[in-house]
Amino acid sequence: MCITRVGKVVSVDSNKVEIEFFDGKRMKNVDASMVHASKGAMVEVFGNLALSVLTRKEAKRREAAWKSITSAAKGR
Amino acid sequence: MPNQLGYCGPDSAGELLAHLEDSSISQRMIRELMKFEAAFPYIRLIAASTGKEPFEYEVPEAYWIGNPLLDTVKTNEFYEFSHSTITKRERASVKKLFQLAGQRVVPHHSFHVISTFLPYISKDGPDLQNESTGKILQQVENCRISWGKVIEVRKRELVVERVPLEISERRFSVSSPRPSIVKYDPLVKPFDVVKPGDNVSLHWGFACEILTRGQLENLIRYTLLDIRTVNDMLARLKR
Repeated sequence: MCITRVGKVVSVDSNKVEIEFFDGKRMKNVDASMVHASKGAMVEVFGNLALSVLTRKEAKRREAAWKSITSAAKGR
Repeated sequence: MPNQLGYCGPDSAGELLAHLEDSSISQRMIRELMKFEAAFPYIRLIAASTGKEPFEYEVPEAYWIGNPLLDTVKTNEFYEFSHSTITKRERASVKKLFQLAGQRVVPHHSFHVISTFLPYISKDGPDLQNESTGKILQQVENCRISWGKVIEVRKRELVVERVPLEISERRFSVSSPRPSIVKYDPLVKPFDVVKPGDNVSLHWGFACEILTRGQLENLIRYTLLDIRTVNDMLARLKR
């Protein structure tokens, strides 16, 4: 299954981007045609589709939410 | 194959597949399965709510395919679970989601997937062009657990008759069956004996298991429930 995650665009190739997530993992060939994100932008990703561009503030808020979910998954 | 695409979970897809291929289990495998950030919290919820252990077969089956265990998870437990595992600032969103969903929401994988896209499908969401709606639908279709009847068995592919979803007028609906080609691993039992007429569950273009008649009925029943719930939520958002 998938979960919506937030990451930074680290490279752009037409409508395909590479994303770096908060945990350092990277994902290539993310379809950014819905958002037209530029390098450095923070985006919300589900599967291999970038859904929206986020402000830095919103991205930080999502990061905190992500951490709380992963902590819950580990039973902490 | 678990997390082969890197969308959720640990980077041990090959190792998990090896366990599936030789039908073995280990403590390390269990630890790896607990690293699936999206799936495992739901599995813990269902287990805690029904007095079972997280990896008793019925528990992940309830989450993944659907079974009557889901009916015994009270909506307020689902709400409390969702509410307590996130930061304070996100709690208003969870409260609104559950208010919109009413009493019928169940911790089923397809509900998680379909409801993820509420903000984009709702009337207040972005003005999606057909192409974008198609891309969202593609994510939903790949990620939700769907079902297909095997028409033809190839070396590592199956031709199945699959029932797709549609998005029309900002609502989800079930469409008529159509042929689709999916991958499968013949080393994972019982796919060594898969045959035309079998029904299989599908996830990201991969056949995960051969469904019993009861499992197929449950998968259809809970998927339709998820769709009704999400459509009701969308209708309430329109008001």
